[in-house]
Amino acid sequence: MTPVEAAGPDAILKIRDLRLHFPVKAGLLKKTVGYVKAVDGISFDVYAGETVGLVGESGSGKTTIGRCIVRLYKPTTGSMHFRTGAGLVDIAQLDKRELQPIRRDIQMLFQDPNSSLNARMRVGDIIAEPLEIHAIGTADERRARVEDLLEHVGLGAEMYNRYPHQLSGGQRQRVGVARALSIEPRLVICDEPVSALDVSVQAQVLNLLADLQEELGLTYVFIAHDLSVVEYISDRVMVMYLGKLMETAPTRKIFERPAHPYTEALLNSIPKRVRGGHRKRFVLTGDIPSPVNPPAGCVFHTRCQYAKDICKTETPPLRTLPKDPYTSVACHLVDELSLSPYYTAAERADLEPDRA
Amino acid sequence: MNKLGGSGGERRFSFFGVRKKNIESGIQDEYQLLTVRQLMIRKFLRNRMALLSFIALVIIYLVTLFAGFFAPYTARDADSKLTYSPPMTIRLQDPETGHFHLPFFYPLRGKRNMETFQLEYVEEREKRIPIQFFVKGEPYKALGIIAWDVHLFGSSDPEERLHIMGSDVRGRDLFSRIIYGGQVSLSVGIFGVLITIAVGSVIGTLSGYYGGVFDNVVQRVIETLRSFPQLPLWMALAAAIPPQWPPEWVYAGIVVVLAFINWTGLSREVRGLVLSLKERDYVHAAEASGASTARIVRKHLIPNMASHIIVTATLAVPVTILGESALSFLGIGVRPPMVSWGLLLNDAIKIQNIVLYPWTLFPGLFILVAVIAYNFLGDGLRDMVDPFSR
Repeated sequence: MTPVEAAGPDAILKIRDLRLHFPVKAGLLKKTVGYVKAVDGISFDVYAGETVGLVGESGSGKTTIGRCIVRLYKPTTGSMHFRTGAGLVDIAQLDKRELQPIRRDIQMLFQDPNSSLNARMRVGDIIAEPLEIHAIGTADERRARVEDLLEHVGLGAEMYNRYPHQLSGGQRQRVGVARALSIEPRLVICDEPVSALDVSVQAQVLNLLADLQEELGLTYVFIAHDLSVVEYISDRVMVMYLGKLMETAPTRKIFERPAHPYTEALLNSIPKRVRGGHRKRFVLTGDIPSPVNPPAGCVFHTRCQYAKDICKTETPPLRTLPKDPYTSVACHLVDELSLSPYYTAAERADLEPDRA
Repeated sequence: MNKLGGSGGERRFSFFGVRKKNIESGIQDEYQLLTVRQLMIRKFLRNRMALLSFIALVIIYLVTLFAGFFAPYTARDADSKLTYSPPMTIRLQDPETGHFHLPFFYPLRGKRNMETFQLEYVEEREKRIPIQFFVKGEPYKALGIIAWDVHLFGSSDPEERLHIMGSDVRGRDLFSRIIYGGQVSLSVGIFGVLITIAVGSVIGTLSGYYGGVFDNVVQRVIETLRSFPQLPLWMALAAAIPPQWPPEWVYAGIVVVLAFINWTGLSREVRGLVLSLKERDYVHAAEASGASTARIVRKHLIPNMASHIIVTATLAVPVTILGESALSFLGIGVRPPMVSWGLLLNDAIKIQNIVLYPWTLFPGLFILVAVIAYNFLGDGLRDMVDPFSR
């Protein structure tokens, strides 16, 4: 996916100013004393066929966005226009019945296959469940489709009658993939689909996802906290902090020329050996602030090593860089800072043949 | 781990290697193919007490179900010559000659003690009456439909009655009455718990799944009900059953009264389970696919709660049995001519009866056995519910 196509007009999903505030209740009468601003004014587009990586620390709201898109949560305000056969439909406020046809097009892949598969159901029944819900095909047709899917995700049709506990972690996640794909969705929200897996298995599942995307023309929103995973699978990366977008940019650009101090800090947190020992680096300290009471001004200023006075008072908007139309950054100091990249140009050159 | 080095580390490493090989060569393959159900059954069979209790309960239920066959007499069959007769001894050996015979007993003859005016029983040693198996006796209806008159055992002489656990004030055979009484006492447990399951799990699921005002109201009602002392509340409710009702209705009334408090415990347990299960990712996955609430409850919640409900229900059966016994013992439970273990214990309500006729306590022994067996069974089932734990 080239940036030109990504910026094209045919977005499959257009999210505008999405907010999800969970009320915090306290006291005997359960009075609302505040809100957890899990997602606080986020806008972005997802284009058909691409993979958007969504990264951030725990508590940054990335999973919440995913759950809003599949409408496990109802956003407080904002719009989510999804492209259907009948044009763009705002799915943010639809009720259960109106959502039913949309649900065929958007599926979710969960983080932990141990808890996302019902231990009392056979693998075949788990994968067939979305088909059953949408009453697709006869029982025999569904079975044939499930066996086909099992082969597709590399499990083999004989797994049909197994129970999840009889499978390994990687096999279980493949079942999760098969379930998500059984009703042929166009958009798949992958919520940290490999974080619970062994490193060796992670690569297999990522490759499977990449192959299936190519084969079926899927669009992924890929939520992760592991930047190396995101680098591998994403075309674009969106960096989130405390319910807000900090930076969105093409994947290579993020690693070579981070534009936001938080992006730099995340990249610095990846362990990396350089010639002659460990590199010196700035490491994020402390925890992400409470989303009930986010800091004023730039939400990141409390942990930012470059923060100036303006950062504490004024909230920086997400602005597209004049010199780079595919990068948007929410930082006052974007023009002043020169941030250290994850790869230097020389390292990138070394890596490049491998990526080809 | 292997960087630790040293010979000890190496040995340990190879030890793991050997073990892994063993696992790979078959044992694990067999283990992996077990279904959840098979794992559960294995687990249950490993708990000896639970297994023993289960067998004991099956036997007790079969005996009470076919009470007519197993009891030598019917529950109302009285003999005025043998009131409050003590348990008769079943003998194999003639105490005088020392000869061995097939099982027999000596009939009891009552004699008034002219000092205490007590009826005292002595064995009539001249008359040896063999115990006969599959003896023809009083007619009864097996399972309430098939008319029959064969009993498992009994006196071979219809004139001389055999009371292996003594008799009551009207000379009715206590053993037979205990078997018939088991029909009431044990079925109260089952029916009471069925109502408990039905009401408790429906209300628990609704209040856990929907929460909100309904949940709030239900929880406050449950708290109120549970803050009453159980027995007085039961007594008050049982006393409200109209005395003119026929015994069958009273029986149904008692079942309802007993379930009235029990459902609260189960509904809380189910509510907690629903609260935790509805946040599982497989439920989210079903929701994201557009599953209806009914489908989520049916396919995801109930199968994952069923085992817990069964355990709670099993542990609620003895509570119900004890409750019925307590009410009947106090005379506000089931009414004659119905028989129940609590009602039979009512004979032992006076201290002088316990001293003079201690065998009237036998029904208590049966309550004890049934309650203990249910508790062990419940424990075993609880282990079984979690088949993946060791």
